Amino acid sequence: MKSFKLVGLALLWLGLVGKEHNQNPLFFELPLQIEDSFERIEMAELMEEGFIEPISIALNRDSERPLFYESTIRTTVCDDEICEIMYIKLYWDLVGDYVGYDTVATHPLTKFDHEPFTENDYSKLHELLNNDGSILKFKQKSELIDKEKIKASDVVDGTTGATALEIKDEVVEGALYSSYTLWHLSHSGKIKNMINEHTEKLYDSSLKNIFIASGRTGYKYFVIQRLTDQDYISDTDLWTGFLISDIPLAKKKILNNIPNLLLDKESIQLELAALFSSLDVNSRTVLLNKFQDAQFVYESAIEELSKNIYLMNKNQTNVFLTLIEGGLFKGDLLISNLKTAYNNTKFAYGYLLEDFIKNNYED
Amino acid sequence: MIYRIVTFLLVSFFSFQLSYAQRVLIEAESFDDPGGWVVDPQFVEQMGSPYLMAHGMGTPVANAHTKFKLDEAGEYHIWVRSKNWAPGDWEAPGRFQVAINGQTLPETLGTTPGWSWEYAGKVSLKAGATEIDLIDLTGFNGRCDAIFFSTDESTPPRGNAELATWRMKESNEASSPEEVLEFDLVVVGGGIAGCASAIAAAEQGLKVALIHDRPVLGGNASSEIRVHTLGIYGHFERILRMLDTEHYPNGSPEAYQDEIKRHKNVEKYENIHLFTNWRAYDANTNGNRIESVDARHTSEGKRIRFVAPRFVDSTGDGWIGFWAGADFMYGRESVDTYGEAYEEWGELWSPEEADDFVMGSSVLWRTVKADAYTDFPEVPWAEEVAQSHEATEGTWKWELSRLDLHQIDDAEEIRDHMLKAIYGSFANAKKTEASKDLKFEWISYLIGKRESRRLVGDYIFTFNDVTDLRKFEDSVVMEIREIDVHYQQNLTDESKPDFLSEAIFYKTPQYYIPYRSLYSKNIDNLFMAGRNFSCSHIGLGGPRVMRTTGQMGAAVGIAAVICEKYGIDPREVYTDHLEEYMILIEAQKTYNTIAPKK
Repeated sequence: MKSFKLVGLALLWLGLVGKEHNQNPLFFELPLQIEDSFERIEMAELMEEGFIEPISIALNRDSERPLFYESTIRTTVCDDEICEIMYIKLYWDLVGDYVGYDTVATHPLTKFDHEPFTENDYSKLHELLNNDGSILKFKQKSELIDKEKIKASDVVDGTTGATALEIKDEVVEGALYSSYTLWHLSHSGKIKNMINEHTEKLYDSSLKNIFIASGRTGYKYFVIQRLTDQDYISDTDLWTGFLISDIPLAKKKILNNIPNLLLDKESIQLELAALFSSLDVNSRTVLLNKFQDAQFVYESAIEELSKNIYLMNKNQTNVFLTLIEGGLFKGDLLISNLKTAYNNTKFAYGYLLEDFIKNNYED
Repeated sequence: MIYRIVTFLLVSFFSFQLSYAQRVLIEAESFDDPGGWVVDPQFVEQMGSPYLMAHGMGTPVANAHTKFKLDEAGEYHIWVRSKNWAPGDWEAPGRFQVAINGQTLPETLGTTPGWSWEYAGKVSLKAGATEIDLIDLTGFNGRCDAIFFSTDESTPPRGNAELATWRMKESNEASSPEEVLEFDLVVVGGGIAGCASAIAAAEQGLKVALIHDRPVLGGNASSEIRVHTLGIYGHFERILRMLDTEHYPNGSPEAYQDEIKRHKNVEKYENIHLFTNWRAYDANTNGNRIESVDARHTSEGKRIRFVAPRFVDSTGDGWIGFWAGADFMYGRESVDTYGEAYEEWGELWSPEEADDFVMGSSVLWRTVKADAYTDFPEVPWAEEVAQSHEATEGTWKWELSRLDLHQIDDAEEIRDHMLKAIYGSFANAKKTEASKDLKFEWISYLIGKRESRRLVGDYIFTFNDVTDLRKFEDSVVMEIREIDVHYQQNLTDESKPDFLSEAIFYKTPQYYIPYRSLYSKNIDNLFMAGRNFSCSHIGLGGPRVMRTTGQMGAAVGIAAVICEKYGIDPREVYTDHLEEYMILIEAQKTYNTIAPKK
């Protein structure tokens, strides 16, 4: 509770005077302390339409490694008639995902009626910027206001009643255009591309290991995108680890990229089959399709897969049955697992097995 | 009553003994009075027939009722073709019973996974008028395809191919339709594109057949699906204003008003022959030409052969092209196929390797506040899908695409998955204080598809045509709306429900679509308009919205007029008559009739 009060007081003070440098940012989601000793390297500039000056992006690094990117931004925020100047510092991680923001000394954030941001407003802004699926993504600036509700006497950005209803809950009250501008900056594709290109140049085995150990989804995906056939062959633990713990998009990519040379090995097939139950529905489909495309499927892998028939959906079950049709596999374990799945009342597609078992495994 | 009943003697010889079986097949969709059940013809190609469904949103619907004349008295075995649409370790959600002549048979139906014949019981019947009632027990989408009476004990076939042959035999159906009608242009699919096509061609004097498998026009914009129209009018503001919608929230009942407008506008053209509730089921070809399209009434079963020199495929799923053997595409092309990268979105936008992760289908729904607390039953069969998600309305984000699900072949499973998502999420919400007075106002039982087959034309429209701002000599469609391509939320966050999607936007000042993307590359007399036009997966991202597809429809309607005038095929409009065609396109801002020469 005490620390909440301190943060509250600090935010209130910031609201009055803005932020001095050398303090840690208001919001910063990477697990590190920003230090004066960090080297700040100007990386690139970007000129966006409507900005009063180019956006300069800098890499921060310590003596050993790159850490994050930042940009101190001075831009206008305008409605149809009135413009204000806004100062803010934005932070991105090494793959261009937003990680925080900070105010700039003597320039606290204000609303369109010049009222300073409250503590809640600062938090709300970070919450908004942290949401890469915000509704603001889909909106043109002209769609932010329900124009039928605007009264002549209202200050536009302050007329929360006129803020389109579906947007209202997502933005900082009274700072509609600031919220909009900052969200689109924080999630700018151009900035993300520039950052990724720059990080690519710094990428080596050391950074790869840091990314793997980071636990950050974006960092791990950056690694997965750069795995070579040799990486797959020499470091099975790495990609099978990703298959267990990473996001479905990453799992799909790994499964698609496993070299055929590796997939032809019994040990790999067995390991993949054993992972079936820990995969998401789409990765399971990719895995079954990989088996279907493989030159040869080992009986041990089939038997391992058959333990999880009851987890398969309709089309996955059909793919599995095509793998074993023709009576190629007659092991007791497979037959037993087929019958168990057929008799499992929680398995919705047992009926698909009925004729198959009769035709292939019953005299 | 118009129903398909065939009674005949089955004569079989076995051990030199002669046996006779009396058999009657009643198609459920042909019932005299469907009561509260709805006719669902969406999945005919997959499961064999339109069927009746008790879409009561949790409240049992009124009985469906019919009667027929039984020729001979006897002990009849009764089978009902049905399906448990949510099988598992719980009571089936769509349970129902059958009553014959007021006597309810004891078997509960709708309990067997997969479409199959469920045995309803044995009844002793007299010859003469026989009545059937379908009694819904749950209000949760029980479904009945057909009822079969036989004095013989053998179960009708289950497999699709065998069943189709059996059905034709039992119905004593001839190989071709009873009635043949001729038109200048046959448009199949009465969505916005099809309607625009029909109007554009009819205004120039063509005799047009507009075939649509629903009672109302509009497709995704209809009151049955309720997606608002987006995009600009291009050259066709006058025509498209007759058909489009206001920008109300998706799912709004305001869709009814626009539907009334749409019907009035289409029906005022005397030379548009409207065939609502008719579903095309085949295209008959000679070489690379379609000679006719066969369609069946969705409830009466009657068939018509539509003969014309040219056809428009605006079915959305590209069925006419598919049946005719037109080249088509399905799925997401690899990023290198057409060079369609959107770098910062990588795999979510365009995959490294081609896959079937197309944009998904939506089912929209709404709730309304009741006067007092309303109960909602437990829905254990929906929990696996909805999990802990709470919701009281659907938006465009309620969308399902999955790698194992084909948007056409598995459309019924997709619709049913969305129903589970809706019922389950609402049941979760109902446990909260804020939602205790809410009840369902409406759930669509039709799926609103975004993407399925795309027929290949002389030109394949891609993302590059947008990024390069490419303008064509045959630009007939223009659009300023951004390209938006969807992906499932659970791809990047596994904790998200699998029925929610996200969109990626690419803003563009303006792009154009050439006429060459609106006719088939290999079927000489086939136009296409709507989401099945010639484009890549990413190319579809922008122009799939309905004012843009409406532009396509109007453009092919006009092209059909040029074709008729010169007796040519669609391609020749581009190669030989482009100037005249483009003048006619430009003239669409006013009602400028140029009647074709016959």
